[in-house]
Amino acid sequence: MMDSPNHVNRAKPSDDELPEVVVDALRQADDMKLAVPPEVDRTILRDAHRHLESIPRMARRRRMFRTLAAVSSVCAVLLVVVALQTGEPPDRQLAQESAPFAAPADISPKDIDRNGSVDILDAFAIARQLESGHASHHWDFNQDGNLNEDDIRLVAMDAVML
Amino acid sequence: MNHRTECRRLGIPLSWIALMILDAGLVVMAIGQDSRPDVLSQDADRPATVTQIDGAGDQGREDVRFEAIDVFVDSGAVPLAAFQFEMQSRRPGVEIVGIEGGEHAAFAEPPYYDPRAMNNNRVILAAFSTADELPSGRSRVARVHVQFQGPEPHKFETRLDVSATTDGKPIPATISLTKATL
Repeated sequence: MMDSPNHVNRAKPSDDELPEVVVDALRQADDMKLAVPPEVDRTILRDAHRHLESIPRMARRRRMFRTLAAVSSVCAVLLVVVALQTGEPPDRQLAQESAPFAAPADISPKDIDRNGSVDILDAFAIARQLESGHASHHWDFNQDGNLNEDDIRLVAMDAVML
Repeated sequence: MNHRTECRRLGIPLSWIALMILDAGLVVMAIGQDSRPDVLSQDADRPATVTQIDGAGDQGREDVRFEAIDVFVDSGAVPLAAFQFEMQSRRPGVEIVGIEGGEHAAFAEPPYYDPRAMNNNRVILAAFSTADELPSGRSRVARVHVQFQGPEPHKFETRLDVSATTDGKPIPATISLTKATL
């Protein structure tokens, strides 16, 4: 390809060097005195002040929300723990019948529904399970090897004891 | 302006908002768990009903007389499958001398009671039935025979501790006493 007449034939710069034209232009620009109008200066300064003033406000807001989030998390976790510890299982009957002797030592084995006292509902629960054929051998309270009306009667008599 | 932009403008990370919404949900769940009605604790604050059995004006102070007191449980429209109540005289001079079952076939047998209640002024009575036919509404569940000494009227306190339907779940019910007409 032929060079145009206006083209300045210069040595081709290597890859890591700027073209001489650019270097010259940069040198000239460096020698020039740039005059920034005072109005522009003041505007930049005012914007900078405004921005710097807003930083503590944002930081305070962020800190407040961080604290709020942390406190509400702790409260929520505590509430859930308390609710889980004090709440009853949804189906107490099934839970009790599946593990009749898993109760703490201070709960009577005859307290089938584990409501804290032996009442007629405990005898009724055994009777219903006996009828449905799902009675547990743990309810053989007179230990005669059979779960029958005698065991139910023992629970019922506990319920009406004076 | 969408939420993300709004949160950025306020300097609140979106993840914190999400965390606080999650917290609020947990709190609501926990409160809901706490406020769930505990059907088994209703017995503790059931008030005792007081019933007066009239005296006999022509009776001497040392004389005794026998009366039968009918005990009724009203379970409304729900079948009554189990009950337990406590009955006590407020004054001495009253002795329980006999206990009968109720009017409905499901509770015709005498209810469970402690033999020590005999010749005492206090008794706990309880019964259940797994029969298909059960009473509902107001039904006599027991009759208590009592010996009174003296002409004065006597007051009985009664507290229904348990009333349940066929699945063993407690049901609302009321108890009342009346002097039986034999």
